[in-house]
Order: sequence, then C-alpha cells, then structure tokens
Amino acid sequence: MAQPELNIEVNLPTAWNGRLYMFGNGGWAGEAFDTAGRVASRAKGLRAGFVTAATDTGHSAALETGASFALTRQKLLDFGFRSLHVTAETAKQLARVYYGAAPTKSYYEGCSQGGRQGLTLAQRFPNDFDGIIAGAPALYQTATHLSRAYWMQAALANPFPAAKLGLLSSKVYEKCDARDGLKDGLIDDPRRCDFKPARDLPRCAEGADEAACFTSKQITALEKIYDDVMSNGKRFFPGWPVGAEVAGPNGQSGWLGQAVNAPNGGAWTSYGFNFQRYMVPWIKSATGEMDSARAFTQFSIDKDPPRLEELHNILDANDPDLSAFRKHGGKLLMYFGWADPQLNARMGVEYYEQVTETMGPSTDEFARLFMVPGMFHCGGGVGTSQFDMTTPLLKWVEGGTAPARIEASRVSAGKVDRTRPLCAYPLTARYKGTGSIDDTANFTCGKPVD
Amino acid sequence: MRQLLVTILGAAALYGQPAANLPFGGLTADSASSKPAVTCKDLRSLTSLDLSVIGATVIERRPARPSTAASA
Repeated sequence: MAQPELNIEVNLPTAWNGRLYMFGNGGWAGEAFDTAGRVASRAKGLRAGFVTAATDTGHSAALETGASFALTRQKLLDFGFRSLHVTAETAKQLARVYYGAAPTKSYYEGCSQGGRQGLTLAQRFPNDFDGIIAGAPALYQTATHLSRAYWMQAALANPFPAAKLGLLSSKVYEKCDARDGLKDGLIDDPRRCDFKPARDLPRCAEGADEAACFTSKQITALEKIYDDVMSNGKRFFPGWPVGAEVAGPNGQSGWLGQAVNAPNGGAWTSYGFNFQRYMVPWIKSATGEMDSARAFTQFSIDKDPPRLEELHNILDANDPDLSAFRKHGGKLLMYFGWADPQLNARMGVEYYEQVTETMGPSTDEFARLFMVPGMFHCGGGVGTSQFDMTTPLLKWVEGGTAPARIEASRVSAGKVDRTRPLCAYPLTARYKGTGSIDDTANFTCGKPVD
Repeated sequence: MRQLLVTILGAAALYGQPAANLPFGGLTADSASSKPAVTCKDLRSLTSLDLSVIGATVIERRPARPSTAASA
C-alpha cells in the first residue's frame, strides 16, 4: 500500500443540519475509530445532525506504539499538521457530493493533543473552521517534553515517594486554598499563591525520612518542579503550578502516574521517553535502543532546546498571530484545568496572553480562555469539570454572542454536588457572600482577589 | 509522492435523541433538513489517485438511549 496513508472516518447523517463537526486525537494519536471516546464524540455530533469527521493522523497506535511512527518523516508531518487539513477538506468534499452542498459552518473540538490540533488549525489552516474548541492544548509540545525530561532528571536523582503526596497536598491547600477569598477546596489561580517547598514544608532532621516531614532531597526535587525551567540563563518554560497534588474522586493524587511514577510507570516518563527516543535526532542516532533513565540523564536543558528548531516548526502550535483566523471570522474557545497534572496550565494561560499582546485588546472578540479551577487533564479532579463548550461556541459563531460565563458542575457518586461558573480569563468566579458555595447562582464573574 | 487516503463512511442518523441537556445549543438530527442527493454507494466513485473510499456503508438508526453528561 502506498505511503503516506491517512485513515479518515466521515459520518454523513440522512438528515443533515448543514454543518461539519470534526474532533481530535489524544496522546500520540493513531487511535482506532471505535474507541469509546471517539464513538462518544461521533454520537454527540450525529445526534445534533452534523457530518462528523475524524482521522488517525496517518498511523495506527496499535501497530506503531508510542511515538515510533515519528521514525517515518511523513508520518511525523502528518501527525504534526497535515492530516488535520486533509481530513477537513475530505469531509467537506464528501458532504458536497452527498448532499449537493458544502457545510455552511465547520466546527472542531479536541483536548490535549486534540487541543494542540485545534490551535494548529487556527494557525496553519485558518480558513478550515469557523469555530474551534481547544482544551488543555499541548501547544508547546517540544518544550513540554524537554521540560518533563528536565524534571525527570530531578526525580531520578531525588525520588519523591508517592506516600508523601497526601502530606504535600495538604500543605499546599493549607496555604493556597483561601488565597482567592474562599476556602472551598479549590485554588482559583495558583500563580497568586507564593508556595515555596523549602519554606512551607516541614523538613526532616538530617538523616531521617519520616512520614510527617520531607527530606532535603525531596524538597530539592519539589523546588525544581515548581520553579521555572531555565535554559542558558533564560526562562524556557513555566514551573509547575500548585494544585494537582490533590487527590481526585478516586482518592489518588493527580501527581501519581505523572510527576511521580505509579507502580506501572508514569505519563511524564512515558511521553518524555518516547519523545527522546523517536523524535530527538541526536539521541536516536547516538544511542539506538535506550531505557528511559539513559534518555533523561543524557539530556541537557542548556544544549538541547536550540537543536529542536525543526521539530518545533512541525509540532508546536504556539504562534500567537491569529490574524488570518480572525479575518476568516473564526472563533476560538480555549479551556485548561488549573490542576492539570499532565500538561502545564501556565503554558495555556501564557499563550493566551501572548495572543492578546499580539492581536490587541479586542482579542476577546474572537478568542477566549476559560480556566477551570481544580480540574485535572481534560476532566476529572476536584473542580467543576463537567461543562458544554459547544453550545456557547455555536451561539458565538452563528449568533454573535460571545460567552462571558459558562456553567459547570461537579458530579460525585453520580450526583451533581456543586455548580460554578467558568469565567472568561482573566476574570474568575467570585462569591457574592451569601448562600451556598455549591450553587452557581451565588457567584459572579469578577476580577481576582488582589 | 502518491497519497492514498482511505475513507470509511457511515450514512445514517446513528442515534435517537437523548432527553435533555443537548450540546450544540439543543440542535437535533430530527430538525435537520438536508437530505442526501446521491446514494451512499455512489460515494465509492470518488476513489482516485489521492483518495480511496474503502467503505461506504449505511448504518441503521439506533433507538434512543439516555444522554450522557456533556463533559470536556
């Protein structure tokens, strides 16, 4: 079979609402079309009468595990950007033939890798979609992986025990929860809490490692994770915001399986290893088969970032110039969980601020960001992580009404136990001072507490 | 370089309508008005050097089932 090969699935309903809904991928992409998440996304679009489209981006995750597809350059390019445009074009072509008319409006939705894909579409193919939802986008992908490698170097040198995540979380929330004016188990903006492990955590006596304190090595590892990543004396990537240490509904810390390896490994280790092994050219040629420890110990935060310019151009979606998308009339909705333990939420906020700086004060006329306090990666966590972004996007694109507030809820044991508004950044949910803190009616969107 | 695109098609409303809290502003397939101008099978003729339609199948509508909560 000739290469390259993109697999695309397009569903054409017998009663069509005249619109296209394309949804994105997760992880390293290559998912089968019948995975549970993809079936749910497809059904969501079809229930509303959309033509739906999805792609595997040009490789099969079952046949080429992890990032191994990237050894084939065309597959790397397809994963980076090309498959997205080809899929959109193909779906539109099929709709034209099947119904005799092209879609009047086209929408895209994705989270994580799918969030990056959404921003890639806005930046590279600004005429493809009228509305884009980019959730927790892995937008600065090369820096994300490099920073993970940098942090894993610290973790390997000073392993942080999973058993102390509960103590760490309690110390973080003790200091930071009420900083936003309301003690509610949520940190509305972690950047406003000056948490320093060396100052704010109990230190064990020299030579001791007890349950109620942290050793000097553990504190050193934490300092490295929370501090900005520096490369050759310059800030390279934001440090990790506090908040994700907390235990989610399953009683497990967000950090477990991420910054701190679970018994079966961790996402930071896995993604960082795959990136180093299959995408970073000099490590590929120098070492051949590697284990993750070697990959991370070989890595240099000073030497390596400048050598990744080509990969940056293929993978990253951090161009803040969205002029063409705006000119097309496109609308962009971004969201990010402030307690995301897999992708750094500050990456999303800083990108939105760069867009605002580049596009000017009227940026919110076409692009808005909604931060979700307490939400883990693309959902879950301790915050109000259930919400619908498609309705506000549709109303914005087709009715001209920009969303200022999006209603969200938290579901525990099958029941809604808290509702809260998500507010267009930089505004946050502010308690009116009376009534239940679990009722959205008692909150308004306002400027954060100083 | 030759490009081979493999496309799978399902041409039908897959699901009935859930009860409430629909995404997309409450749009429903039942209120959609555009109908196919050709048969699903006709789409196979789009196969070319760049695009290969490997499946064009009508999938019957399933009965309504409870809505799942919309989430991120």
